[in-house]
Amino acid sequence: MALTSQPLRGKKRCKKIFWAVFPHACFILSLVIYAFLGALMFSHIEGNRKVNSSEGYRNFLQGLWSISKNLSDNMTENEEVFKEKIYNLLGTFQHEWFVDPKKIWNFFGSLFFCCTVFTTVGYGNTYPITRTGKYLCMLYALFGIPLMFLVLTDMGDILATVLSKCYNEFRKLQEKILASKLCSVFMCKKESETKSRRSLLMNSKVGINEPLSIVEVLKSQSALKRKPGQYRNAEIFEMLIAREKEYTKLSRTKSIERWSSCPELERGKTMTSVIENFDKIGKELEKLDVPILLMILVIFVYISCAAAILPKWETNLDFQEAFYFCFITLTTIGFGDTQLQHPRFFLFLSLYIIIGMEIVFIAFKLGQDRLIVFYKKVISFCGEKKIMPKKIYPK
Amino acid sequence: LQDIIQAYKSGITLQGNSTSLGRWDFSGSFFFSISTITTIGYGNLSPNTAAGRVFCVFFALFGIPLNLVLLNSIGQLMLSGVQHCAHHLEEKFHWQKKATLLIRICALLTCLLLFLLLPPVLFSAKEGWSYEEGFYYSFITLTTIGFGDYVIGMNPDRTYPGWYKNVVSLWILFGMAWLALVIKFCINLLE
Repeated sequence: MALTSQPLRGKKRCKKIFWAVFPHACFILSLVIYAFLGALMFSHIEGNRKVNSSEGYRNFLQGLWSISKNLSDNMTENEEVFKEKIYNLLGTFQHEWFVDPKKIWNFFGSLFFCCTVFTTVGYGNTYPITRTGKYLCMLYALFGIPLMFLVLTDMGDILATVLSKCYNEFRKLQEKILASKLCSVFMCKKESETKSRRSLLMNSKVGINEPLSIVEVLKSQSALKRKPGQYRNAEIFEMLIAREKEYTKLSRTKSIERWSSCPELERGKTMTSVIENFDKIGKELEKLDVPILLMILVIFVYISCAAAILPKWETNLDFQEAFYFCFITLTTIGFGDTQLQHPRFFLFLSLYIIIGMEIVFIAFKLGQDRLIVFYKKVISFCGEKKIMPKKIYPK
Repeated sequence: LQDIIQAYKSGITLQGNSTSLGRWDFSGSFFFSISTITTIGYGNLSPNTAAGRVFCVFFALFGIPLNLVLLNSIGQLMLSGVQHCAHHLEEKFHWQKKATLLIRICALLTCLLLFLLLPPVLFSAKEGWSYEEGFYYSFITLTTIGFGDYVIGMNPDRTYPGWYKNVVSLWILFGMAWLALVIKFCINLLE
């Protein structure tokens, strides 16, 4: 029995991994297909635009020729005259006279344009000119932007879990180092007492994680001693209730595990878990709790990596300009003032861009939450003029 | 010829004859800040100096979450207003659950009219664009794509009334909050 179950277990694991990765791959694939379809459509519509030299274009050229004909040989005099006369002429300039639509709206150009539409970056170096092109652009954006948003939220979950795991590991390591340092400095007899109390005080976010008696709780909450009696009782009752909830939650998960050990239910479980996972999109993102400075640091390091590679093929950008360009792109502001010489190579970095937008998105979400907490504190401070006691709950 | 055009485009900001939204005085800079923190990013004005760019990076880093918080609160305000209305009407006319759905659809249609269908009329009157161009501009602005091919207040030949810029800024704010609310509702419906 044990020998035959080994390859079965391997097969099961493969299947499990496949079904875990499948939804995420599904989203990304649909986005890629959407981008390619859009590129085909736009290159067909805008690339086949009829370029007829309009009257305005011909007047513009004639005006330019007549100005340059009447210039004298003196350079400084020319500059004044030229500036004055050319200003009025250039006011009538239209961008579409000088661009060849077939060159700009080839497949890769249209692909670049579609990406700027559904990521909402919107550089503006290429934009639709024909009427059908504009309507199509609006329709494309209407469906493309929510799709992009879905992909972002979905991949954001993965990134958020990775980030929070790394951060928790880092904190645990930090505590271990701190605890070991204390052990070496103080007497090891008192170590066990101080360790439990210190771990309680340090994990202010996690709260009570060891079963403590009420006496120990009272001792460790030294801040409580300074407060009036009624607050202290309320705090203790709330903490006890919270601890009871924790215990009931633990027992509930244990009972579910016992139920799922039935083999017939295993087969149906993978499909239901896949479908359930669709509902859980975005939940990991909401639970994330890392310091915002860490996120900002991650952003800066990430952008610096790209800013170091980008000048290799974009020769007119130095590090500072490439950094600025990447930042403006990843926050989807997209001024469009920096022109790329090779937009195709930038498309190859599309995975980098998605992850970068992810990170920026997460950082902004965190910033939002922190701001709201800050506003609440300010308002409660102004409203009640009393410093609220610090609540220590398990999260 | 292309080089002359490029030079002109970068030089126009130095000359004094451009409109107030096209140079770096207070109105133009205010419009630039708005286009940055709402992530629209038209690009008609953008910082050229290194110090300006560094400041822009930090400004955006703190400004964008602030803007998101504002949009969320405005959205909540609008939602509570609609629910208040629905509650009022339910009490008055003694309708049951159908009233809330009706009120919601009504509110959606009014907001659609107010934020997407009416502003192009204003733009065609003040900017001289056609209705379609105004609608295209409104859509591209509210979804924060912001190409920059159409930007309000950039025509030096036209005079704009004093209230014009403020009304447009208010429209952008409320329109984006409404659109975010609609997207949230759609996502909730799908779940």
